[in-house]
Amino acid sequence: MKRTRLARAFCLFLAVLMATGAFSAFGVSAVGETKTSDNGVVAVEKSSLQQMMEILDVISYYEYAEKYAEIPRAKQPITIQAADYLASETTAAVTVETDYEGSTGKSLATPSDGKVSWEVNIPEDGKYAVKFVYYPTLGKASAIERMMYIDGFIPFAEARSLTATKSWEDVYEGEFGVFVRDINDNQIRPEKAQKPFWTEYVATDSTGYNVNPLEFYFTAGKHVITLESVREPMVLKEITLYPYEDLPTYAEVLAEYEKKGYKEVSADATLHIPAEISSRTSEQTIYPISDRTSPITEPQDASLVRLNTIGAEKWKTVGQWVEYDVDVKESGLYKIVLRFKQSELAGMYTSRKLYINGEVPFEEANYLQFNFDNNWQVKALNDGSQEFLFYLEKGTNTLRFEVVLGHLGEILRRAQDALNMMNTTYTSILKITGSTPDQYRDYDFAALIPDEIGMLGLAAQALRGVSEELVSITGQRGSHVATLDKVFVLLERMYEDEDEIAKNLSNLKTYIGTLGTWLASSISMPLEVDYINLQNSTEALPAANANFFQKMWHEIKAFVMSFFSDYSSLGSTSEEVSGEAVEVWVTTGRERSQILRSLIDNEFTPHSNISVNLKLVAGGILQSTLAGIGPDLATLSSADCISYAIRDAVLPITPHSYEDEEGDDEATKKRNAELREIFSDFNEAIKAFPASSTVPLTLYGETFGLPNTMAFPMLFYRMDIFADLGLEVPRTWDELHAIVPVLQNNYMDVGFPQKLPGLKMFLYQNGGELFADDGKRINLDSNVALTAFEQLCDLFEKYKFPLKYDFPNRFRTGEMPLGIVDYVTNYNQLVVFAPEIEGLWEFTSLPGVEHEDGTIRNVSVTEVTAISMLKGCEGNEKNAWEYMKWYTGATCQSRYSSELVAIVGPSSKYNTANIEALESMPWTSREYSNLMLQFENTVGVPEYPGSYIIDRYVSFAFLDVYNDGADAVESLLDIVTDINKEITRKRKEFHYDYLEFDYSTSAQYIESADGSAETEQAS
Amino acid sequence: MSANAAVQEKKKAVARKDMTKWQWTWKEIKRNKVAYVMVAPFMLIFTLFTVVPVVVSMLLSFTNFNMLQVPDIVFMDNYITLFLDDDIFLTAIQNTFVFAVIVGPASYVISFICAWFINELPPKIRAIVTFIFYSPSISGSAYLMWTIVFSSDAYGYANAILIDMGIIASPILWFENTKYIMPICIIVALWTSLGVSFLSFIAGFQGIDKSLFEAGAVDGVKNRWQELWYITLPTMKPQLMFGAIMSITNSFGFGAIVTALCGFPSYEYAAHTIMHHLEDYGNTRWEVGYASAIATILFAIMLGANMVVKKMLGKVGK
Repeated sequence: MKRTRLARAFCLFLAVLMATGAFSAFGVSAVGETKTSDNGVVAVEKSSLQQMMEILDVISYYEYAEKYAEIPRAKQPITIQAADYLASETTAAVTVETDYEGSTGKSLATPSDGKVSWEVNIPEDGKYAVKFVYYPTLGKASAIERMMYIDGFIPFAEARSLTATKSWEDVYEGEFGVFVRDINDNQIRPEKAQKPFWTEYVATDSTGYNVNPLEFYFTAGKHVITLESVREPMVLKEITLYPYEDLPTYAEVLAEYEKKGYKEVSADATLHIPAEISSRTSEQTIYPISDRTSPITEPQDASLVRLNTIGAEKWKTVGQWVEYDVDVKESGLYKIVLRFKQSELAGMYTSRKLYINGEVPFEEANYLQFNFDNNWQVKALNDGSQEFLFYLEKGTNTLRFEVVLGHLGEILRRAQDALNMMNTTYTSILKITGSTPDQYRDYDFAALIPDEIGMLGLAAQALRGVSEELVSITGQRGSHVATLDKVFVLLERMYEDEDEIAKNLSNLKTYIGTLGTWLASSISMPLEVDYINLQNSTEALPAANANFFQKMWHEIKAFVMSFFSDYSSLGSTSEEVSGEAVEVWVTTGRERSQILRSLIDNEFTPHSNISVNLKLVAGGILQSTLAGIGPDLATLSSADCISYAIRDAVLPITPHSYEDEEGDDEATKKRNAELREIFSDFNEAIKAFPASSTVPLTLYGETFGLPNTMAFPMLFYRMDIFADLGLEVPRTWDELHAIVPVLQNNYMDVGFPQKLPGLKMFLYQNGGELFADDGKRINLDSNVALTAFEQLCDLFEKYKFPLKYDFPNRFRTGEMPLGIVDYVTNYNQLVVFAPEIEGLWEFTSLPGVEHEDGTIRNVSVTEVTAISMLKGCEGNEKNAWEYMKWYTGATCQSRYSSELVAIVGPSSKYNTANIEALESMPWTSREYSNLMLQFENTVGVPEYPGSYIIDRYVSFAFLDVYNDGADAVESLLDIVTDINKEITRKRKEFHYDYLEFDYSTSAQYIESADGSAETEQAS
Repeated sequence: MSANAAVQEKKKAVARKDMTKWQWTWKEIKRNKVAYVMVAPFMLIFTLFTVVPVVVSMLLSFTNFNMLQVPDIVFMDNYITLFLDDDIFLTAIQNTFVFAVIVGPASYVISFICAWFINELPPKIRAIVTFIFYSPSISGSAYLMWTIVFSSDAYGYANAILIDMGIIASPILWFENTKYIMPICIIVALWTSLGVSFLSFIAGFQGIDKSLFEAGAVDGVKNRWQELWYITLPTMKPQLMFGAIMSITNSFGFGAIVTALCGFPSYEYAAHTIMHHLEDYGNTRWEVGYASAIATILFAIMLGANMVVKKMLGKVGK
């Protein structure tokens, strides 16, 4: 009863909120009104309510184009010199360059952050496409990204991420196209280098839904165009606003060819271009790869590595391109024939767009199709209905193949729209009913949220259309269509019969996820290419697949040869391998270890001549070390690292650990000197990591490993829900306390760290430490720890935060729009698992404790894994140390993480501990700056003997409070003795100094607990 | 049975006065060498992977061994600490006995009763029903479904139903509340316990010679209970023995399920068994010497329990 009344009151409140909210959803104009007054909070640097609103309330390009469909295109182009920027509106640190890199005249260097503006005088109303002449200065491995504002407003969502590519080239040591080989005759992949040059970028939709350039509407008169940097610096020469002209169709072009008398070329002019030898690519990660599936892939070998193809999983994202400079022998018409494989998108096709010398020759070249087949295929370029002829002039021509969504773009955009509508509707229903609606109650949705219910119908209609069109395009009703069918049937039911809404809410939630996943998989467009043939249409096409005997012979050879291959020295370029091979054990997945293997083979071994034996294991490091057959290096958690270290199973890597001691014999002294020499650059090496990351790996001044990954919690929040409820992102715990009731009144909850992680967070934010007296006792009986524990328990007692929850799932559905959770695992999960809320959420730094001096301390406690040198490594320390430094270094870490993202997908962001590598990882600049806010603000908790005991006792204390309502302070004090006893016991075992804790002395501590109690040295 | 064997052995030794006992044994081995060859592979593996580790573990229990460095001998220290200065060990013994006393006999009896009933069914249905009853114990970690049923999440089945019915307002932490941990663990343990012993009982029931029942009827067996007590059970003694040993060992070695359900260690050590204590010292604290001492004691307890059971089973049918 009580609940019903409450809910009714809220429905009323929400109805009012909705009425205002509905405006804001469709127009930029309402931004100011919906912003409710904040309770005296000073303007926040990070995403404030206003900023969130701005981000959310922008229309899509489709809507924009519809709105201005009547407006004609402009008549003449207008060029703005980049150097004539509007200084008053510019916040970026720009510099004007003269005759920059071969250009003549002035140009403007723009950094990777800040805004630059230009004033432009438009002579007439009209639509303009925008073209930039730019030079991508050397930078990180990611593309250049800019946001474009017109008169201070982002005209449509797609203008938020204008993405200009960079250009990468393979670096060959000798002749172009000849790969270096290792001592066993395996080919080694060439390195990629960024090769910038002046080029043009036409503003296009980076999502690929719209194939043609974006057209901006300008009224006559003065306007200000602003570019805000999202990623990467570039030098701009000029910006041209020009009327876009539709491309001619193939029929028109063909007629033109005929008129000019172009003929098909003779058989002699046939050109064969191995695809793996590209001239330029847009990404560092598109490089020659090795195909072993077909014996006739050129070149091929049964046992040795032959780089023979390009693309596949690495070439699937919209905008990525590969370019070939082709020396054409004869002017005339050519068919462009590809040997390719597209075995990923079952029942669908992938698309490419072809540029010849920077121009798309005709409209249909935007939509080149590559159909699905499990085998290799040889086909001339076609759009599914006809094969094309292309005119190439004698001499050098450039062919660029770019990933596009093709005809699917428009269809997928509609599916995306439907998804957005479903999301909006779902959250509005959720706010009325909560996550488990009463099936038998009449909620009267039609009166409360008529617009949202209408959206259900629109979404159903849109999806039905999408499904039908997909069937007509692909000619079959496969599993990919079945997904859509299920969704729109449900939507129709919910739209037509209001009683079905409450009943099917959880289904709707599931289907939103299904549709999101479907969309994410549909926009990936992989294609693997073996070679490109330029030929006339009469000549026969080469065979696509090997015959049965060729295949059998290949497999037999490969099987037999596999007994003789030396995989560990793969990549060594010199016979004189220096010293022993380093044995490294990793426990990551197969994909990750393969990426690492290829990085070792291509980057580490060729340069250092140290061979590496990389083994993928499922654990067992302890056992094998015990048996004396363990690895030289392994990645360990910080707890394991110190556990091994106190048992002398891990070698310290600090040089001062190897000082001579009295009574050392000559051999030991010599060895010590050697080791001091090897580890002499230790201080240099750890500069690459934040100080907090080495703390858990260091015990009494000796460090036992180089940090590999760092995991720490950050604050995740749903921007759409916060904006809707008019909430600011909390910066302090008081602010959190203020918003929790609002969330809970809307049936929403907060995901909060509990037990030891929660305690540590508050403890370190309050300026406390977990251990006292150098790890001889726990510091939980100090005032600061007791305060921290009270703060934690207070939150859980007052608001009954759930102890157990599946965060990504509840975050996705909006039941838990705020959570403090580990950043990388949750980010990764949300990116693939919840594509339907893409762009609607963010992570940022934690709320903090406000100290008396007004500063907010919002540190996050980090967990660290490290690569450590195990006891078995003795004698091979030099090579192992080289590997450790290389592996944790910026180059390897950033390559490793970008490879991961390129190959495994965006869900494999990697939480490196290397500061420099983090910067060059594929985060957007907003994500990166949020991440850096926390990354620089982390603390590490030292590990001491007996640390393992703390976790369980703190959780006992926490549960006492949570379950039985026990007093927080008493519960915490109760466990201090038990913990101290264990620490002392453990310290005795390993002959460290210890404090004697029997029951009487510990009682004494409790009495005089003030954090700095004088301790009696018992031993 | 053991008395019988002793008598036999004595007889043989007496029979040959011309050679010593060892000579005689050797001769017998040579005579039966085929049998020895047959049993050798198993014995080899059994010795290597069961007997030797048990012996090594017993030896290690007198040392202080941290897994990575050479162990040093501390004689009885581990045992002294274990019994005199380890409160949690006492909790663990208590919990283990609670499990053993409730789950062991209960699962034994349930297994037997189920097997008895199932035996009465027609063969085809019997096969299906047997499979259904036996499946929880062969399907590996199927008991993990109980973590969903009793999840502390508000979306866990038990919590969701109770919240829906309005009995509770916020989710109960089933596995983190001393009130619920033990009962739930016992329920789950019983659910999984229809294992090998159950199967062997069914085999036992089917192996009984039908003519015995006829003979019994002739000799004056009046009802099914008498039939069970005087004919069925004594004939099934080997299976009963096997089942009993399995039940006892399982209920003493009970641990993995609790860890999977409640985490490790369980809240307030509420379901901490000797197995957990062993794991705690062996895997978390890396004190293998101490863990070996615990294992040795567990071994002794199981041995003792088996002997008691043997004695009790000896009374069957008498």
